Amino acid sequence: MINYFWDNIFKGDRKEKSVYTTLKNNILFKDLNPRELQLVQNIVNVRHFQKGEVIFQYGEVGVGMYLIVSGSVDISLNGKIITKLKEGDFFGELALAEENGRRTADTISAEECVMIGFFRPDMFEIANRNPSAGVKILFRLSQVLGTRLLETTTLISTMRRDARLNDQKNS
Amino acid sequence: MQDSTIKRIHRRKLIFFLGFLLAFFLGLTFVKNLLISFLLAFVGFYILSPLVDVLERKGLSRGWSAAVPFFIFLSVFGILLQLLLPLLVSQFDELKTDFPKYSDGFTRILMDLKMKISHFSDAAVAERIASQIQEYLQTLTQNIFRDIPEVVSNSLTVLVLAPFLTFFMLLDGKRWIRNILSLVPNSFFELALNLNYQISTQMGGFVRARLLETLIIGFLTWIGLIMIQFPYALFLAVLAGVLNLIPYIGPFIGAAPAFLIAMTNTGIPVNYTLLCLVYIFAQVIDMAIIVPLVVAKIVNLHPVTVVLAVMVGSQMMGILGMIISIPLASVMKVTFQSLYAHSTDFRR
Repeated sequence: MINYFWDNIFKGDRKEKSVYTTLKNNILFKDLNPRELQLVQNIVNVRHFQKGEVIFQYGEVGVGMYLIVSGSVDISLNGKIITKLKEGDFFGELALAEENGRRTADTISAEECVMIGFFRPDMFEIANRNPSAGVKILFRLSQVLGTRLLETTTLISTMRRDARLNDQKNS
Repeated sequence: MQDSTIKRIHRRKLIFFLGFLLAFFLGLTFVKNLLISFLLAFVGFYILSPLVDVLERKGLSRGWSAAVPFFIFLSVFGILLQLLLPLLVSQFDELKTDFPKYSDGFTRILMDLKMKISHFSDAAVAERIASQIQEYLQTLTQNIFRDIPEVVSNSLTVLVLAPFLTFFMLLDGKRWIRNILSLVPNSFFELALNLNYQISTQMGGFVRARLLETLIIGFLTWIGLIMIQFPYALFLAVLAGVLNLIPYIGPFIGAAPAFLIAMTNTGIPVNYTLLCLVYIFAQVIDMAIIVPLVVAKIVNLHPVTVVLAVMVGSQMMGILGMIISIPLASVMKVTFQSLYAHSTDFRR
């Protein structure tokens, strides 16, 4: 009874606020005005994951991305953890732009997680109901994908240069 | 948490979700008038939802965006019903009164046919065939005249329930779907969401195109029959438009009543060429303008699949089954393909 009395009966409201805050602080949605953010909040899917639960697996067809509201996620490849993502981070955004794109890593929740699933059908619905918000999100998405591409290209160039230098040293 | 525990939770959620869907479909099937009300509500939803989205894009709230097109549509539909229903009912009554005349005329044609057949085969066989055809047609027509008043009385419930459901589907339909989808376990969630989107997009285009097709076929047939001064023009046009929804055989079934009336009506001279032209013209317009739109919207179903689906539909639910068999077959095809890809197609 005492526990019940002291328990926060406005938890639902707090959860909504944290979803709203997570969206607001994410790069994809940072250009949206409060009304547009409210629309996005009504459309996206809030999902709960248990500790150790698979979010998606390498090779699966992906439909969209996830934003971490609370908890953390391990990203792994061939059984090795390559990175750990925390509150506010997002992953799987390539699937938003790619039709029938495959997931390129395994993702497992490292602890109990609340995540926002933002998928291609949600993006189409936003673009259909509020094209201005849709354009803002797509512009930011292309920026994120462009940055990823640039990072990957730089990494490959560095690896190639290192390989060439090694070849020269050996010869 | 252990893998087995997570799997158990997923299994329970999946069973709950599938149980919910099953209960919903059983409810639709067994509660009188609910299935047809839902089907009509879906048609209304798919017609009006693009308009609702347009208004929402202009800055109106979802409530107003749903209410404005809904009440305009309801008013236009009401006015059309007010104008056309008395004419339709009077033509139906007229046909019912004249029916003995057509029945006699048809018996005469069968007698002639019997005489002709008996030249080629055994007289007893010809007699049996003719009497069976006559008996079948009599039962069929009696059933139609007996069922239509019942259909009309049922349609009063449907006329209230369908618009009510349409309005709330326009207002809150997407939220309902999201709430239902939230029951899906995480491992199937992306699949379910994508499947719902694919089916909804496909059905929207299909329903709008088929409805346009029905209206155009019905309207052209009506105008054509009025021009050649054929009796029961509106009633026959409504039949032609609705039955045209049945693939392949629909246009023939839709045209058949007019030709039967023409063959057995001794009162007025009928120009068969003109009657043929009316129905063929409507079909040509359909083939040239509407079918490309419909074909573009529907899943590429093989003609054999279409015929099989129509046969299964007719066995299970009669004419309604024949009409809804194609969209249902498309839904089943998309669902099966997605489930198969999800469960088997992993690329390591």
